[in-house]
Parts: sequence; C-alpha cells; structure tokens
Amino acid sequence: MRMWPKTIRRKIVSYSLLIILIMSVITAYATFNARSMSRDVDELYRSTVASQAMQSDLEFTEKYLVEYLSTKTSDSLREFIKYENRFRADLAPLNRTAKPDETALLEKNLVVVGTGYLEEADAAISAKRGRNIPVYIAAYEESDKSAAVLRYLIGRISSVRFNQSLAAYEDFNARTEALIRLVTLMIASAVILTVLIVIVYSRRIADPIIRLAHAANEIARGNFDDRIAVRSADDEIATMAEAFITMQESIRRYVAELHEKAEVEKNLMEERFQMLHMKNLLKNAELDALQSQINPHFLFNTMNAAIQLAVVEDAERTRLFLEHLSAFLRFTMRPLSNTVTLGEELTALDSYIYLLKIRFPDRISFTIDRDEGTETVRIPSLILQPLVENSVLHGLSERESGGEVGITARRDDGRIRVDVSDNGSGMSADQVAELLRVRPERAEQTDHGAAADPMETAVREEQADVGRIHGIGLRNVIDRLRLFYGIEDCVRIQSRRNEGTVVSLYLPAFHKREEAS
Amino acid sequence: MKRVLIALIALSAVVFVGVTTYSVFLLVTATSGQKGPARAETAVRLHFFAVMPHADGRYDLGLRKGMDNAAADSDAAVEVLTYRPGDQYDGAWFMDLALRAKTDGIILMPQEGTDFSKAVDAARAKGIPVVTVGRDLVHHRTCFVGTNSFQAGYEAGRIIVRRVGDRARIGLIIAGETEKPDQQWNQNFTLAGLSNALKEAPGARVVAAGLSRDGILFGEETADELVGKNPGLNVIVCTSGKDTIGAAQTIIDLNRVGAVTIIGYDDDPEVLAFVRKGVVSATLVRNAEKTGYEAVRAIVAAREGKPVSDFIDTGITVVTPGNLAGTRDGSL
Repeated sequence: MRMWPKTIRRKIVSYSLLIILIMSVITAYATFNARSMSRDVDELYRSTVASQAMQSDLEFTEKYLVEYLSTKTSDSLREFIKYENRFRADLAPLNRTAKPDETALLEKNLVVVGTGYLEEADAAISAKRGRNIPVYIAAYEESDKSAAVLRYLIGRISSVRFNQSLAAYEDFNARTEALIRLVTLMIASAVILTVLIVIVYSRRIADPIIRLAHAANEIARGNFDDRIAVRSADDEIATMAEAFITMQESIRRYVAELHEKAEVEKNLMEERFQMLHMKNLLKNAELDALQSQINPHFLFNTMNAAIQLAVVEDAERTRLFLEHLSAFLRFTMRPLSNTVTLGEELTALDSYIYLLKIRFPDRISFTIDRDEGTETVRIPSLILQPLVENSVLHGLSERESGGEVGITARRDDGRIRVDVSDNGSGMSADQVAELLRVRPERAEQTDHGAAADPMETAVREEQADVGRIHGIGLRNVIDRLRLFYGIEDCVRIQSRRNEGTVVSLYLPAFHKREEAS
Repeated sequence: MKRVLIALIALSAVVFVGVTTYSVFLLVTATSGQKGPARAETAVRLHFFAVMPHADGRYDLGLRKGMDNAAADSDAAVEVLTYRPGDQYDGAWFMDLALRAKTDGIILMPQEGTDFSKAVDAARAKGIPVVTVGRDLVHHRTCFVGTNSFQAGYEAGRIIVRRVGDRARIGLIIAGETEKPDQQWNQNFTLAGLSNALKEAPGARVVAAGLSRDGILFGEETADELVGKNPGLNVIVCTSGKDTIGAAQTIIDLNRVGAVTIIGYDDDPEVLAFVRKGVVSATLVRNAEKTGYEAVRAIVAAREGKPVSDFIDTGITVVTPGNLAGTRDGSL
C-alpha cells in the first residue's frame, strides 16, 4: 500500500493539511499555554477576592453583633443575620475534613472555628434577649476570641493561597522560559519541515514535467527510441507521460513507415535508372548500327551482284565467301534489342568463323559443340561473336599457328552454359577483375592490354574498326548480359598467362515462349 | 540530493514531534503540579496541631519530617503552628486556636517566655492529649518525647574528663531563662548528669553558668561574657545549637581556639562545620526525626486510649571530628 496520495489534487490537499496541522499544533500549544497562565492569574484573583469577602463579612458580623449587644436594635439584628448568613455562605464551599494539606487543614479550621464563632455569637444574642448579662458577656468574649482566631486564619489562608498561587505562578513562569525556547525550536523545526516538504513536493510535481519537456525536445530532434522514464506514481503527470509515450510510439511508427516508403521509392528509382541506362546502351548500339547501315540495300544488292558474278565466273569459293559475308552482315544488321535463339547466334557465328578461316587459313582452328535442345534458348543477339572476335584479335594475335578457339553450349543445372575458350596469351588476374568489376559507367573499353607488335597493331586497328562499326566488345557483352538478366554472376572468366582464356556465360534457359516475360 | 532531503525531513519531523511532545509533557506536569500530591486529596482520621517556636534549625526540620512520616503512617495530619514569644500570637494563643479548631491532639515544643500551663490544662480538661518535645513541662502534659537531659549532661562530662581532665574549668551556657520551674527541672537533670561524669576528674569544676536569651546573636553575647569574667575557663558546655555557634565565634574572635574546649549541641550545619574545623570538640546531637515520629505515635496512642509512657527517650549521639568525617556529606 502506497503512503503517498496518488493524484496531484490529493497531494496538494494532503500536504496543505499537513502544514496546517503543524501550524495548528503550534498555535494550539501557544493558546493553551496562554490559557493556562490566565487560569493561574484568575485563580489567584478569585482566592484573593474570596478571602477579602470573608474578611469583610466577618468584620460586619462582628460590628452588628456588638451593635446589637449594645443597642439591641432590630436593624442591627437584621444586619447581623444578613452578614452572619453571608459569612456562613463564605464557609460553605470550604473543606470540612482533615487532609494532609496545609490549605485543606486551614479551611477545616476556618469552618470549625467559624461555626463555633457563629454559635457563640448566636448564644450571646440569645442571652442578650433573655437579659442574661453574665452569659451574653461571656459568650461575646468567646466569640471575640474566636473572631480573632478567624481573622488570623483568614489572613493565613489568604497568605497561603497567595503564596501557593505565587509559587505556582513563579514555577510556571520558570517553565514558561523553557517553553518559550521549546516553542521557538518547534517553530524553527516546523519551518524547516514545511520548507523541505514544499521543496520535495514541488520537485515531485516539477521533475516529471521537466522530463516530459526533455523527452519532447528529444522527439523534436528526431530521437524516438529513448523511453520516457515515468514515475510509478499514478497521478496526472503519469497519465500525461503515458499519453506522451503513446504519442511518441505513434510518431515513431509513422516515421518508420515513411522510411520504408522512401526506401521502396529509392529502389524503384534505382531500377528506373538501370532501365534508363540499359535503354541508353541499346540506343547507343542502335545508333552505331544505324550509322553503319549507310545503305544496306545497296550493300546487299551489290553483294548479290558479286555472288552472281562469282557464279557466272564459276568462282565457287568466292561465292561461298560472299554468301557467308552477306549472311553475317545481315545478322549484325538486326536491332540489338531483339533476342535471338542460341541456334541463330551459332549459325551467324559459323559464317563469321568461315570468314576468319578464309582470312587466317592455317593459324586458328575453331570447334563448336552444343547439347541437344540448347538451340531454342533465347539470348540477347550478337553476344558470342564479340567473344570469338576477342579470342582471335587479342588472345591469339601472337600465335602464328596452332591457335584454337572452342565454343561449347551445355545444359548446367537449369541454365545454359556457353564457353568460349582459346589457347592464346591469356590475361592477368587484374585484367580479369577489371573486366568483371561492376561499374556504374559501362562505357565500352578495349578489353585486353595494348600490344606493340605489328600483328597486334593490325588487330587493334581492326578492333578499332570493328568498334567503330559494331561498337561491341567483351565489356559490352558483359554489361548487356548483366542488364538483360538482372544478375551480376552471369559471366565468369578463367585465364592464365600464355595458357589461354575461357569465358563462360551462364544464361537462364528462356525459351521462345518465355521471352515476353 | 533526494536522500539528503528525505533525511532532513525525517530529522526535522522527529525534532518537531519530540519538542512538541516534551512541551506538552512540561505543560501537563506544570498544570498537574499545582494540584499537589495525591495524598492531599485523601481525608485522614486525625488532625493534630504542632505548636513550635519559629525556627528552621536542623533539629526543627528533622522534627517536622518525623512528624509527617508518623502522620502518614497513622492516617493523620499534623498542622504546624509556629510562634514567637512575646508576639501577638504566642504559643498559648496557638494552643487556644488548636482547641477552638477542635483538634485531636497537640504536640507542643515549649519555649521560654510563655506559660503554657493553663493552655495545656485547658486541653487536658477537654480530653485532648498534649505531648511535649524538645523541652519538658514536667507536669500537665501527657508525655514527653526527647533527649534524656541527665544522659546529655553525662555525655558532656565524659568528653570533658577525657579531653581536659582535672584541669577543666567549665562554663555552662544554658538556653532560655530558668525562672520557670519546668526549665529548672531540665537544667538540673543536665547538671546532674554532668556532675556524675566529672566524678572521674575530681579536679574539674564548673566555674560559671550563663543564661542565653532566644535569638541567634545571644549565644555569642553570653559566651563572651563568660570568658571575659572567667579568664581561667577552658571548657564551654552549650545546650542549644545557636549557643554553640555563638561560643565558637567568640573563641575564634578571642584567638583561643584549642585553648578552650567547646561541647556543642545539635547538628546544625554551622555547628558541624565548626566540629569539622576543630573549633568545637564535640557536639551532642538529638535525634530530631525520631522525636517527631515518636511524638505523633504517642499522641495517637493516647487518643486511642492506649497506655503511653511518661517519657520516651529518643537518644543522643556524640559527634566529633573523628566520626563526622565518616558520615556522608558530614551530616547525621
């Protein structure tokens, strides 16, 4: 069970009541103290007045007794009786039993002697009325002695009472000195207590509000993760803090959702950028191709005329050469955005190899080997010819004979693996890494390092020509494949210096009907 | 910081509550203290008067204490009335007051200058017992409670024999006047005791006797007169505390400390101080508290009709510098 009140309203009421209680105790104490002193003074005053009244009544009783005994008037008798009764009334409240207390004993004496005095006085009056002179005189003498004793006793009791009251008053005064110091201490401790209570209480109210303000500043700075420390008290501040925590959580969730949306938009933008980049590459390639299509009809008509001329002249090899050249050129004239089957690509590659064999009859031998069914797989067009061209122009450029270029197409775990291998000069690991490095700019570059010999110079010049005509190299092939399939690990290169190079293409097996997707 | 604040609050709360409680306690005790002790509220069976000379010597205070103790034990109350001889209200007048107040008994300490015979007779006539203390009236009273005068004189004589021997030239300071037969009877007994003891020192002689009036100054007057008139006097025997103080002061003033042996009386602080300094050789101390106690017991017995001894001896103690040192704070 908690000792502290829960709500701020209850706290304010309880703390105020506590402070009021403390002040009330001090006030009540001071009031009671003053009241007690006043009571002492009152008692002193009352006892003094009572003693004086008794003394006065006794004197008048004596006076009218003597007056009656001497004059025997009814007035004096009436007055005597009047004061006798008053004196008797004065004696009435006094103590009548023996007690071990000086005042009580004095009062008892006063009552006994006073009663005796009144009896003696009455006896004197009775004797006076009966004209029994010796008796009334004797009775009067006794009453006179008793009156003297009474005066002494009244004076004594008055003195004793006064001394008792005075002693009590002085004792009380002495105690009051101590009490004043105690009251001062009470007030000082009460002031310290109330000030400390106010400090603690104000801190209890202000601290959670300050923490809330700090939390609000943290949220304003964008920090939604710090949990607000809420006091376990179940007051309005705690309720406000809980509401604040709920608000903080809502804002945090909202901001997280915004971040997720921004991330999605960012990815979308990147994809769009890649698409744009690919389109740009295709446009560049198409532009280059268009630039090369100066007048294809003229070129092919001319080529046909040359074929017919070769037939007429019975030049069979020339006809075949021109037919392969025409077929290869027609293949290269296709838009690069169109896909082709692997079979079409390999047919075009056959024409290209035929042309190369005519050009380099004894230097290089070519082999093509493919698995059954791989010819229907659709691939981007013109991706194998640049690889073969690379092997011939760069890999085997330094070999005078014995050069070998192999093309294989195999099914490999749901994909088609196409290897283009040569036994040429190979490439360094750095060169391979450079070729495979994913770069934002996919500018076309020459793929192998420059060579200084005439053969290489001729090859490079031809490569430059090819680049100008087709603009397609190994780098271009890698970039196109990555963009086309959306995966980076679609090309692998194994190469060793002076041993050769194998470029492996891992192509998803899209067949004709799947191309649309 | 928070712990410090809590600690300060607890401390100030404890101080406040403690001070408040203590203040209320003081106030309550101050208020209840005015009502007096609880016994004062209880009625008692008997009401006695003690009529005594106005004095606040050790003997008088002890006497009152003894009477109060006996009253508490006897379901009685003792009201003390003090008188001064020659005043408007003398001892006889207070005896009359006691009779008019219908007292159950009177303890009277007679003093020179007042004739109590009639008052005592009047009381006895009304069947009110009267017990005398300190000094005896010999006749009239119911019984006397106090020191055996013969024993007191005898003890004084023994000290003189032991200290001075045959060389003793003794001066007596007798308190009060001796014209009254009762007083003479007391003094005679004292002298008889003294003489009896002096038989062991045949050379010793009482060379002078002086009468001292009541009052603290008159002891010195009497001693000075005794010594002045009797240059060979080397022993002074006193029969009251005030006479002892006066004699000691005189001997100091005359620079005869050691040359004059003073036998004192009672155990007032001043007397004991002189004993401690060796100015007074020994003092005869009456047992005041026992005297007061036995007086009340005797008067209660008389009131109840029981037989009461004519004389109740409460004994006497000789205090010397030797046995005074062994007593706590020098008092007996």
